[in-house]
Amino acid sequence: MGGTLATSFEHVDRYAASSSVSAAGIFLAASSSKPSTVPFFDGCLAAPRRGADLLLTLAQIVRTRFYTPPGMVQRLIQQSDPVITCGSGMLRFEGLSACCGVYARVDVFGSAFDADRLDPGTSNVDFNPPMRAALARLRDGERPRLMVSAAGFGVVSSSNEAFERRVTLPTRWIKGFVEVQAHQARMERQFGVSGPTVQQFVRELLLQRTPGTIYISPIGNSLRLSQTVGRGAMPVGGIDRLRILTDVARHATELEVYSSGDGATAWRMDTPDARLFLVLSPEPSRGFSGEGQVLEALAKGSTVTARLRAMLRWENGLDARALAGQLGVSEAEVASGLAELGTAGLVGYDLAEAKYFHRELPFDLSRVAKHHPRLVAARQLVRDGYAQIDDDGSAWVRGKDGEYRVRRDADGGWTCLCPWIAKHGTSRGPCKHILAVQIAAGDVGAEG
Amino acid sequence: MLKDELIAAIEACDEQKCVHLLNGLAEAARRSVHPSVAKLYKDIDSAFRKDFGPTRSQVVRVHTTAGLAMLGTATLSELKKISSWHLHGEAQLAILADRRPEWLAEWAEFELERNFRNWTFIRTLIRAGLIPKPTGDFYALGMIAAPGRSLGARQFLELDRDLLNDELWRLFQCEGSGELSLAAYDKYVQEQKSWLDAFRTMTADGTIDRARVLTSTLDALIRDFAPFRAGWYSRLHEALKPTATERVAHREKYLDLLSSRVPATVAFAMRALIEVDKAGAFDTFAALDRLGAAVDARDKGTAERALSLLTGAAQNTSKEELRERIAAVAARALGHSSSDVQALALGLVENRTALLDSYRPVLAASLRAGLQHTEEAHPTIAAPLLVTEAQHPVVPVSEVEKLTELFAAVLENQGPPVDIEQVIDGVARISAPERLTASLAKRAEKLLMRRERPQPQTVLAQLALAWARGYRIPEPTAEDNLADFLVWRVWCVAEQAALHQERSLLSLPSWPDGRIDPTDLARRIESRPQEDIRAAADPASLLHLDLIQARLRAGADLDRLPQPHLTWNKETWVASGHTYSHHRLVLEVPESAKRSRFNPILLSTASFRASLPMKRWCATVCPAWREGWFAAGCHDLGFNLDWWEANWSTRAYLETLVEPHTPIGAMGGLLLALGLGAKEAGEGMLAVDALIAAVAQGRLSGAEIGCALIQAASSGAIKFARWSKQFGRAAKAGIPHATAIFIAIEAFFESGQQKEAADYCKLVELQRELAHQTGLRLARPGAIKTLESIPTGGKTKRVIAELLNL
Repeated sequence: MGGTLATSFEHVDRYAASSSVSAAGIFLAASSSKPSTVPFFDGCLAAPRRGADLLLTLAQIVRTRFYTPPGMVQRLIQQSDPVITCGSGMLRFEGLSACCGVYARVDVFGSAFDADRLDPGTSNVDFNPPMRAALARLRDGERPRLMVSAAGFGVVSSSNEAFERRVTLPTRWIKGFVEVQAHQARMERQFGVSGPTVQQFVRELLLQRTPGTIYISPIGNSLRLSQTVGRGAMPVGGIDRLRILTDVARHATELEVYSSGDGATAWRMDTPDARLFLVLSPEPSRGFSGEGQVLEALAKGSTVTARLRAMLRWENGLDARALAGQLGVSEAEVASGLAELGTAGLVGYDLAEAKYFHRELPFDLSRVAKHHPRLVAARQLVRDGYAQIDDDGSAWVRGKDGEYRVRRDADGGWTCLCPWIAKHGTSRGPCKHILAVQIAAGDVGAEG
Repeated sequence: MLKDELIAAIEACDEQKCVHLLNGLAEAARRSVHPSVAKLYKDIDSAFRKDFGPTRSQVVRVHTTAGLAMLGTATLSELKKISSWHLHGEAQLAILADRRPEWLAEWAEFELERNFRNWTFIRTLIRAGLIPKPTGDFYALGMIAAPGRSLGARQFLELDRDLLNDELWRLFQCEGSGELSLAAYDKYVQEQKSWLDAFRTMTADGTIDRARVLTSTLDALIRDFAPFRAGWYSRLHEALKPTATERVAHREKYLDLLSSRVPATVAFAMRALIEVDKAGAFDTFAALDRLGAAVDARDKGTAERALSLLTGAAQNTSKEELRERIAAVAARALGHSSSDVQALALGLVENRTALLDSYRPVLAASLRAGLQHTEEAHPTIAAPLLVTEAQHPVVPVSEVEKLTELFAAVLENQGPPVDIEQVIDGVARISAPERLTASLAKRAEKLLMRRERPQPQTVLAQLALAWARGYRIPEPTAEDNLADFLVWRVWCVAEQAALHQERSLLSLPSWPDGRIDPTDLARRIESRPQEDIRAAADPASLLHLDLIQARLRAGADLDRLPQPHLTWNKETWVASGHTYSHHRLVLEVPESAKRSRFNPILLSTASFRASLPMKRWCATVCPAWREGWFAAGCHDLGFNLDWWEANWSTRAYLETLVEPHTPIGAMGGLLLALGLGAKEAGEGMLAVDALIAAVAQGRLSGAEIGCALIQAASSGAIKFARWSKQFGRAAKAGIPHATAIFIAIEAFFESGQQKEAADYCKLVELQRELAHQTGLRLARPGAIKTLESIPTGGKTKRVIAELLNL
């Protein structure tokens, strides 16, 4: 495998009309390459103000760059529209911030709407400025109709012409979108707070602007922010990013917090009929794309991926253990297969249920899924014969600054003497030297 | 031949000749000369980017002329590939007017988007009838910057009054970004040249329709623009001084704006609605749902205004159903951070349990006390939060592979200090296999070649080379502070390593905070050869600093401690009619010996510039006595309380206050008090952590905190509002903390210091809350006398009375 890895690609959303809001209701235009005469979703919102606030927060996250690298002078990258998935009685809206460091998802339960139509599918949806302005004006007490459709909409609208939106999406953004699912799959609930405490906590964030890592610990029914590691305290990097919850915190009944121990955190905010998830990367400067959490799974591959693919069927609750039982394989094999499907954008992870859900990201991932730079580099090292394995399983790998010693430590994890592992450990996945040793030793597959 | 003549004209910077040669040419002819023009342009463009010497002006002229020729011969896609340029002048207009390519409109949009400063030229094309008005946002936005520095916006519009019909109004629909927005532009121009002033004056003299401007500003505000850019529109609206009638006419739009995600817009809308209410045209009941958003507002004033409307409505109705609805909306304010807002909301919610219950935990203590359920007045707070005391003993590294990995890590991360100490200790005992350490040495070499050479990375890189390759590193020269001491220590170990002398050190800490268990040290000394121990007593020996360090960490040699003394100094100056002041602490150590690396105790009193990782390492030098270290911290923090400069290393001093085995004396207490008054949120948060830990572990009493407050406040540098917030946060940790803080503040009141400060009331309010939380009451006559003597009125007087009458 040679050639240059694409760093970006053009993604085209084709909309039959702009999204709009009128007296007749809310029309969310769905992108589609094929004209369709039926909508994904057609129904009435039961609590429009709450739904609008959640969707506006998601739209804001997608437009936001929480971190701008020093010296970045070019125009900010364009961002993709949010993605909607309809299936199994639920609407899910997903998006990733422009900096790749914040993933957001709004799950709208069946109790939030009366649906005349709810067909399974995934699409981008047009969240234009007039749409956002109109959402801001929605009031409780009304029951606006909501339609999500790839077709033209017959509602009176001042701008209902078909249009295309072309965005140049960095490959790393797509990788971040898929990588974040792997983070979530490893997370565990840490603690939760309820009711007005959520709003108070978010307001406290507004008062205390702090860089670096903050430690959060529950105290009674509140959360204390600290600069010091304490018993039961959870580290959160770039906590300021949670200020985006300011406008929706008043709807919260519960706030549950998850972490995976590698610095990424997830914040699940429950409302009576919807849920907002925010997943934060370990630091604002670290997007999810470079985290390397799926590298070993990608390198290894799975024997059941194709069979898993056939079982997806727009299900909302794909449980690894249950699937393993059905397929007659180990849970690890299924987890590996789901990770692979995740990198292909075919499954997302629902932390609340600890299960995967089927959706098909509307991006061309064929160029992304297997072309992870580290994996490519590792395979090249093996092909060049630069990984020399000793009898005890440790190895010497030739790098650009000489040889690096790769070995297993006392805990069974891998270590390497390269500067990258020295600086980060394996918190961002294995380095190419470790991967090369694993490939050469036959622990993982040599070919992609 | 045309091609040759054109090239010659370009090289001669003859724009008129270029225009003339291209005039009337068919497209095919233009295209035939383009390859030569493009080649020449490429060469000239290269020089344009690099040549800033004496011929620069000539290069610029040639470049401009070449650009002309490109305009006359290139296709649209070819023009898009050349870098952005400044379009101006008659010659460029003439070229395009003659050529009239079909893609001219598309090119104009493209140029506007990549360089909005070309707006004036594009406008010229429009006025010449060569292109229609672009529809993209950049056409409207580019106009913002078009006046330039010489013209005001009003003047600019007067010169092109056609803009008043359409383009001007598009400014209310396009947000802009970065430097290209109305808000950004007006921020950096004089007021009389600003766009806001242009709108204001043109509205005043009827040049543009006032009603349309008022409506347009509100329509812009509803568009979800970012806060900075949205603010321009609310400022314009208010600058027009809407009349009561106009306010009433826009009532529904103001109500819509209460749902804005921009707090300043909500505040603006709420103030406008108060005016509508004063005009007798506001129906609170009809607007109840929308008022809820304002009740939720973070801004205290906005919430209070909304609650005042609700209060007025409640007072004017006897219908229970309506009062219930009002209470349900008002209840949303019970979670506000201001106890004043909570009090207003509570007045409307009254004793409606269903509305109150979920908010009880977040109500201010003074309000909870007034609720019917008396047990709520002193709620049981969870057990005090303790910072973990569990520290794992430090184990010497025994394997060379582990040592090399650890060394690689500290080389990149410059810490943590315990890892650095383990590396130094390991290097002293274990020789370096060449193959294994080759990559480490290579990396160290690279780091030493960089222009920036921070410590401790530099000395660790030198140590790596000494260990891996036997290099002798230069002997240090400075001996002024703890960082210098540590550099000397490492040099000694590097010398041993370079000479292949393997010898155990004495100074490896037993615990991560730097302490050595005295029995550990005794055992180490006993196991060392006697000649080593004798040699270590000699200051010239490579072992001497190791022995000094070890003894300090074990708590020995703490006789004849220096007595650092701090004095506040205030500098005042006047600039542009404003008076500024800056407080600083002057640190002196009277009657001290000359500083040397053999007296790190004295060195610890020195304030110095260093990185955060270096300072963290320095904190481990003398864990048993840190008053000198804290004095240096007070000096640094006292200088930078208001965050004049971004000095992140100061937190290293505050971090040591958190450690459970650190005794806190007068200097430590003062450092804590200063930290609680620091503007930088991280420093304040660390100080709160330290306060919570110190009180929980019995290292600091309320009386001692009080003494520290008195000394800190004597400067006049402390903002009591900050103290109030931070103490409030610490008090939530538990009753013992709230009690200690109450005692401390009472002692501070008794001192009578700074009672005339504008924010003194914040401490009084806090004390009131603490009194409710703990059940304590002011008992010191001096404190009571201070509060009674404060000449004040209004809210402060009420709070003082409430506190004294508890």
